Amino acid sequence: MQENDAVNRELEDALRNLSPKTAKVDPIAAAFAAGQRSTLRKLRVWHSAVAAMLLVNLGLWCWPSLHNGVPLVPALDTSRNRTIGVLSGPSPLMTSTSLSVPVMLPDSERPPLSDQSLAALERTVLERGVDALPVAHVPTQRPVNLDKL
Amino acid sequence: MGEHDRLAQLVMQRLAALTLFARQWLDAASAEDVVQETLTTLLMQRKSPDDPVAWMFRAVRNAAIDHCRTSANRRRREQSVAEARGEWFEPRIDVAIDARSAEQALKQLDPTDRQIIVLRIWGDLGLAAIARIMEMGTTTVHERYSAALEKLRTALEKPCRKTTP
Repeated sequence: MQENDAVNRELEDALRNLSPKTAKVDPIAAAFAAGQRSTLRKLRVWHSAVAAMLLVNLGLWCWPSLHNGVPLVPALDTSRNRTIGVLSGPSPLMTSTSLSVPVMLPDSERPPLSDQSLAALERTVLERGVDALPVAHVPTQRPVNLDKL
Repeated sequence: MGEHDRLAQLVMQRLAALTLFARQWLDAASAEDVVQETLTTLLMQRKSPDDPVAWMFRAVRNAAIDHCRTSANRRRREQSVAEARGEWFEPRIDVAIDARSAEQALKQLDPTDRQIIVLRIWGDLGLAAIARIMEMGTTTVHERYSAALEKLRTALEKPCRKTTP
């Protein structure tokens, strides 16, 4: 066994003395290529970052101009119905309810009367007095019983 | 930069062995290309590998196998490379073994055994490193190495054929 090992070692040494053919590999060119490629990689990262920033800037620039003066949702006609209060009841199914009822608009929000209407009113008051004016129909408010709800 | 210099120097000492290893699959020109490309890849690594020499041999092996797969059938190519008359070693008169005889004896070995011999003798790698590169157990590598050495010895000790005039 030892003899065999010695012979093998001798063969190993003899083989080691054989030198493989020299390779035409240029380490300077390899280092240059490595530097170039890693620079290209970094450059690509920067290009992507700049492109992303440009897109974000473009989006931010376009956003106000798109919505300037143009409503995002159609306007609701809220001149007639107004939320006047929120009711809370004892029922577990209905903890709060919003009631919408017709209300009298304040003077500032009412549409102005036409000249013809004003003239007709004036004429009626002059001829028949204030009593000739029609009776205003104010809706009567019924008391709301929370227990019935 | 100092780290790159150290890596380059380490690899430069083994360039011939690396090319010889790549030649187990490829012809001379392709083997040199593969080694050059692998060296570039090594220098591009942000963190240098723990064992750069073993890393290079493994990378060269993978690159050479990939190169074979892309071009032609691997086994057929290995066979043709083995049969090719490209000289693997520098012919020297002061060496006990003739370069051409050694090449012929190596070519008679199984490709895996030949790779183990190249890694151990000319790559100067330990059995554990060879086992990692070849993706085998250390014991298997040791057994195959001993058996391959035995075959080499038998092949090299064969008496020269007598040529008839």
